[in-house]
Amino acid sequence: MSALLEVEDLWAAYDDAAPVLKGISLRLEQRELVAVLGANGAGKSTVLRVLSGLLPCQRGRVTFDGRDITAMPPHRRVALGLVQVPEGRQMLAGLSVEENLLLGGYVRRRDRAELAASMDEVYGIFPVLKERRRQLAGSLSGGQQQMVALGRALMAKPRVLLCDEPSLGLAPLMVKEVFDVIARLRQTGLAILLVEQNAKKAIELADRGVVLRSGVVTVAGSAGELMTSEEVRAAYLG
Amino acid sequence: MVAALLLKAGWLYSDVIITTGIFFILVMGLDLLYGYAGQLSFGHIGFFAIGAYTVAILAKFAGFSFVGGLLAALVLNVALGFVLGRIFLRLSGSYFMLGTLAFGIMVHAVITVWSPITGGDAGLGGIPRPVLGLLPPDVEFGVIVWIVALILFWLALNLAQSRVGRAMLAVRSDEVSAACSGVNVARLKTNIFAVSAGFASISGSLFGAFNGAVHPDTFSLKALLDVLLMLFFGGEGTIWGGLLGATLMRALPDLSGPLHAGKILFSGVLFTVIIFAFPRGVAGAIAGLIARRARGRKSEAPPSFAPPQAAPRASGTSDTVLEIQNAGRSFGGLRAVDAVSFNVARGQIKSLIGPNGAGKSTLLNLVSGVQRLDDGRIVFEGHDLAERRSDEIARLGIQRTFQHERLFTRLSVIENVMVGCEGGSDGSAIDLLRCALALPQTLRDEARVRDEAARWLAVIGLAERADEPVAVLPHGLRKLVEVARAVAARPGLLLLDETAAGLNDVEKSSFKALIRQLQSAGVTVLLIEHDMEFVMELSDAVVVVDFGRRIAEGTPGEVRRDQAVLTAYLGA
Repeated sequence: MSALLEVEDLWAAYDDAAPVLKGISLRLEQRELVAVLGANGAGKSTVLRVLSGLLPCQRGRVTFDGRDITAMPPHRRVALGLVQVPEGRQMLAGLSVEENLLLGGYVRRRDRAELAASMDEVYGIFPVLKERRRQLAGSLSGGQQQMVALGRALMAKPRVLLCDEPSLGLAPLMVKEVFDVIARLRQTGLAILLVEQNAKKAIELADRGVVLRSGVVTVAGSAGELMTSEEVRAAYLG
Repeated sequence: MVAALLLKAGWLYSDVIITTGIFFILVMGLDLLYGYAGQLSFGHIGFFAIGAYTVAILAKFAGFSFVGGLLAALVLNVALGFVLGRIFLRLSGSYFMLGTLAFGIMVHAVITVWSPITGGDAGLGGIPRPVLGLLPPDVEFGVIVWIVALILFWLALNLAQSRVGRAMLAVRSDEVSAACSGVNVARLKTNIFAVSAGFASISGSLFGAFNGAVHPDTFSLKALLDVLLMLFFGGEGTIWGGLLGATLMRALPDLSGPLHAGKILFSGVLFTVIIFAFPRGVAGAIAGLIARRARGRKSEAPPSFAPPQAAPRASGTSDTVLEIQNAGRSFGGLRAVDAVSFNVARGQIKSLIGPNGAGKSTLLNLVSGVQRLDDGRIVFEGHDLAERRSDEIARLGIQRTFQHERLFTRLSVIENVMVGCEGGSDGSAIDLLRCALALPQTLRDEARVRDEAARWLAVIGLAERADEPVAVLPHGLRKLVEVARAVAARPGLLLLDETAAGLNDVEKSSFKALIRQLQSAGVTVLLIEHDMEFVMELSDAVVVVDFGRRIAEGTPGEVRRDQAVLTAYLGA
């Protein structure tokens, strides 16, 4: 039985600069949460960008549910259920909260009834978004924008969620809330790849984790192993 | 066969060489304005026409020589450019283009209709050429054109590669953060508009003399399309790209022979192909190749590493650096900042915390002049900041970073920091002149600033990546470059908006050390951050805001125990 998402020997670079990823391999099973840790510039966000198809890889293979998707364009990956929650939230600031959510469900636009059901589900998870559904997304606070970003991804009915630093720039209460939501999503059966600077929080939440350094995986193991790993403690847990 | 062609059309090729020089001058001016300052003008064909007609009219009615006419046209066009620049540059983006287009059309209409003076449809003849009598007349005029073109090329290139060039690219990247780095955006843009009008004027006067006559048709929208093609084919943002563009556009109709008839169609097709094949023009593609090779080389470490000077350039004597008194600001019905008062003491590290949307970033925007105060007062070192622009505030000694980093994407990592070191540019005519003439002092400053910026990059651990474009850096490192840009200006007060977000624990502790180092050098710091461990450990004092109001203030210990803070922000 192969993993839901499998990455083998991934190499990638921006323009003609030196490669940022130098042979990354990792796997994500059904219902699993894997944390990706590492310093700034280690290549964490790049991994997600390659997985969602925004950056082509130079070498390597990405398989999703047994299917080779290495060369698949981003919108088709979303349709398959591989959905990214981008770093810095990336609101469509001039559209309302509801329009942002609807765009998240664009790949399922023909299925109006189901889309409405998903919308209710998202409003169930984030009641505050329902209150503010007519408000422009750009006028929301950072925490509420992060909820819109998560909700927008959920509208695509993902099987794998790629989360890029969901706690970035959020107040402590909000950070807690966002991590709570991620924990809940995972209980619903989603597989999640979580990139986080907040290493401790991420490991607490994860089943397994990998540590990247200069584009290679230096440590991989269960959450417990990461917690006790000398390298992780020294470099990321302070 | 080529030789036969050259022989057959020898006289024509000298014409091509002359007009290439003339249009090169026009395109250089446009490149300064668009390729550097980011303002695409469709109206410069108007300045070009005025340059030609002024020489013709003054020769006919007042007996002016060519040189007299050229200088009169230059004065007229630069003055006109200055006035129109002030008006048009209030418009943004496409409205600016439409405004300038209207100007170009108006000039064309005036020269067509005002027949007693301009000769109307018949045009005006008898334009004198400059004569020195040293060479055969035809050759001499070509030599004069190229001497003028090369002098202007030298000036434009100096300007583009100087602090003013960096300031212009900063403006093109992000006007708000350019202003916060000390660039007088409005004045710089206006002056560059006037300079480019001057280039167009000289080019037009030479063009009039070359033809010996002026005629409205030469200055129509068709001519505008040709000039834009030269700019984009050559490659904007390089200055020398204009030479490639002008050469191609002047030589092509003669080389293409039969295609000449369908020139407009041909130009249209060419334009489309260029935009797809060379999005940055031929010169842009070549420059890209050179940069790639340079990036491949290992950059050398700065010769002697010494920590850069961080002490504020100027500092007052009172205990309070910043006083915020009853500051208020609304957006629509939302009271984002509501009667907030607090002080920041000299040498203090003060943190501003509160829930997302509480008004923290708006407060920093009010202090840095990015947004205007509705009511209340903000005083920095005795100066009331209410009526001051961001660049004036920067020059008083306040620097900042942004919550969502606003680096200059058109500049490399080190050039971003250099803009900080030199405090941008006041955009004055004097500054422009000093840079265009490449005075020895200017060159020495350039070397000193580059060296200083390199040392700042070493401090944040990015010396190796100095020449890379900022876009390839990951989020967290871009924020550190923004800090380097701010502290390189040696501010008295440094405003940091969530700089540590996106750094991991190890990176955070070296960032903490950097802030402490700045503090001991005499810098006062006001920062926004959500990481409570970071805030509590670093701060001398903390202000808490919620719903635009100050709800608590005190030492980290006091704030941590405050009931209101616990409910609103920290969580029990």
